[in-house]
Amino acid sequence: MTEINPTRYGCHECREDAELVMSDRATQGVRDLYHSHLRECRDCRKMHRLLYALYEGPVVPPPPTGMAEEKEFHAALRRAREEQPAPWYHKWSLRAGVTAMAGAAAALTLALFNVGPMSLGSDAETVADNTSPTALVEHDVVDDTATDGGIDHPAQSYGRVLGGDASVISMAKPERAVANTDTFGVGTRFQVDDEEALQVGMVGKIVANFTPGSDIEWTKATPSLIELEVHRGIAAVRYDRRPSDPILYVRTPTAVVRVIGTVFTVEVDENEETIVSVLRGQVDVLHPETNDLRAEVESGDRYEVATSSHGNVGRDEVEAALPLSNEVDVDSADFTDALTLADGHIPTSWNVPGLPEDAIQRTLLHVPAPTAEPTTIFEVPVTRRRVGQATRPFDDGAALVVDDEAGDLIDRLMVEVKETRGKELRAALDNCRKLYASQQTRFRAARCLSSFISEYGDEPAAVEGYLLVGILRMDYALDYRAADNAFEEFLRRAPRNHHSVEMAMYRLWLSATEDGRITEALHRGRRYLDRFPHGKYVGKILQRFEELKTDF
Amino acid sequence: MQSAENIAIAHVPPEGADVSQAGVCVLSREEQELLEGAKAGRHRALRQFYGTYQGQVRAHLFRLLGPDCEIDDLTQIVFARAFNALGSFQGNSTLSTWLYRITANTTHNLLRQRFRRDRVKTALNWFNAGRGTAVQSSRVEARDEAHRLLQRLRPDLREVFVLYHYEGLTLQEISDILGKPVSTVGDRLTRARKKLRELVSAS
Repeated sequence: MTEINPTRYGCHECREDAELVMSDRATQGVRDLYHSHLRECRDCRKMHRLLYALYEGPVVPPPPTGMAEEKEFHAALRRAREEQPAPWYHKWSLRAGVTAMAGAAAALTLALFNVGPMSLGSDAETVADNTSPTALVEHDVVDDTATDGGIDHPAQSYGRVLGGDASVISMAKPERAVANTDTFGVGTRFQVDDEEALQVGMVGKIVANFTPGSDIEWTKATPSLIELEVHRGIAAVRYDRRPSDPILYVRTPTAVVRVIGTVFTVEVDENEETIVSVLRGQVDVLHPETNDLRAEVESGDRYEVATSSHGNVGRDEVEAALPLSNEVDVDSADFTDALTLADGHIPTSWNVPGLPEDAIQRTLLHVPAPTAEPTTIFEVPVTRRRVGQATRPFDDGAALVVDDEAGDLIDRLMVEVKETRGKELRAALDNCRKLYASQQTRFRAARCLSSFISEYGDEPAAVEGYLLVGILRMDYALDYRAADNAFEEFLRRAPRNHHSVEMAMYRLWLSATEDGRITEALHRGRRYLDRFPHGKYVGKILQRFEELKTDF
Repeated sequence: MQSAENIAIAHVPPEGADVSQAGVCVLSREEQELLEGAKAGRHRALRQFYGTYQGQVRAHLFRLLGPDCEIDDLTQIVFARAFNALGSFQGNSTLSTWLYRITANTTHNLLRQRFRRDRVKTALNWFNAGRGTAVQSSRVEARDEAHRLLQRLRPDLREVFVLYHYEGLTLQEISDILGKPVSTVGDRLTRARKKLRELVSAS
């Protein structure tokens, strides 16, 4: 820039230089003159403000997230299918119509029209059925199943029983009863014990609590869709879904609940009516046949499908979902402090109308009764499973054998602590053990054990506490990072010949598998198989990883 | 979004991208994997593709059209067209540039139709706004006024201005997107700036 005479710097020069100044291409001298003029000239100040706003551009509103984002994606998919070019036979049938051929020709055209889609396979079928969201998803699923065969890897398409009791039957392979293992696959149907709830984890992403007497089936697990079917009872589900995770559908006789990611319960009462309650997030309730949207149920809402009525979430639903509470301090780097609120209090992120905000009072006792007509007092079904009764199909099912590893551990820990430390330590651990003993309070044992570890973690006798914390963090919070830390901490502290090393190594493998870190899981699986070729978890590892069988 | 203080920006290829000797920026490894999955119709890949680029598409539409009830619909149309055209995408440009091209093609006619339809109306509003300036100037946000000014720009000039200044693309990239020579793009940009300066001065 050449030197400019300040006395000649007026509005014209100012407007000429505005763009240079804003794009930071003006010299210091020009900038000084420009700003000096702005201070004196109101019109140029306005011009500057306007031009600045123009170059800065509008403030873009944030894009939709969660449910809205998912809907838009599916709408785009649907539109993509609709906009696909029409197949040749459509054009031909049109031409035939235009030339007004006789009845025989029209019949032939119609025949071609009808036969065409069948012969063209899935693409044409999708075009014909593109109004159904399920059809859209299933079309995608077919592709993925063929190539991937699971969520990301077939090893992830499994579930595990975390606690409780149920009679199970494998619907996928009815001829084969479920083996004596805590691991189950797609097609498993649970008839939950009348006295005790069943807690399961599925595909490493979903934790569910099935209330006593429930009858629930896991029908599908693909990269884009997981599906449960509730025949009877209450399924409380927690699904902290990441964007690339599959959508969850919960089917009942009268509705389909579409879940993007949330904490909710679905109940089918004795009249086969469906009630959906949402504690966190939002779900869509769809018509079971047409998949038309019936209702959007938001957190704090309880929706009865039969009457299309909304009410407040009630105590039964909160109670069913409470074992799934996992509010964590995400900023905590130390896994022992990670679990902050799974202590029997209702998490603050759950919307329970009428429940006090005060954390201390957020307990079941303070949950008001539902405002809606309480039509859903669930009675334990009459079709109970009894010893010696062998007439019902469920009696062909086998019981899942839960490896109550943590239960054994906590008992062993008690013994060791008893031998080495006094009453104080024992009392602390005894409290955790009591919490662990019941399915309804087991999730609270993690917090209790975390406190125990913080207090007594350096004691050699308390080393298994790390393992216990890891197991509970993994099973109930799906917090695989914290679980890995705990298992590795255990392996670091425990002697090499410690009797729980095998379990820790198995759990490390399981954590990587369920978290979808397949390469790491393969590595950990190999490490386990090398060290424990006759170990008790060999079968479970080989069950999920065909590729390890050859190595082994 | 690019700030006004830093209008001229140097474009750097995305990290991990392979830049050939001819200077053509091809896909990064992640983009290639994503593209292969999406071409195969894998739900997860399509979802990831959508998740990665929906912000870009939506923001671009917003900057072109302003607050508009059709943005949701247009976003869906852009992605629907992208999903259908994935098979023919050769990978000669980044996915981002390719999507800008689809967005430009999708909105081009709409912008022209609207511009023609609104020309008289805008002129009238402008006249009325001018009469009421003394009363309204303190109340009217500079940003809203800037948006109105931008809408008065001819669609072909507006496209270039938005792509260059708001989306931060180079003239070469804009040339690729619009299918026009770089000189034409540069000319349009200059004319857009000049026209806006005139509009600002007139306001």
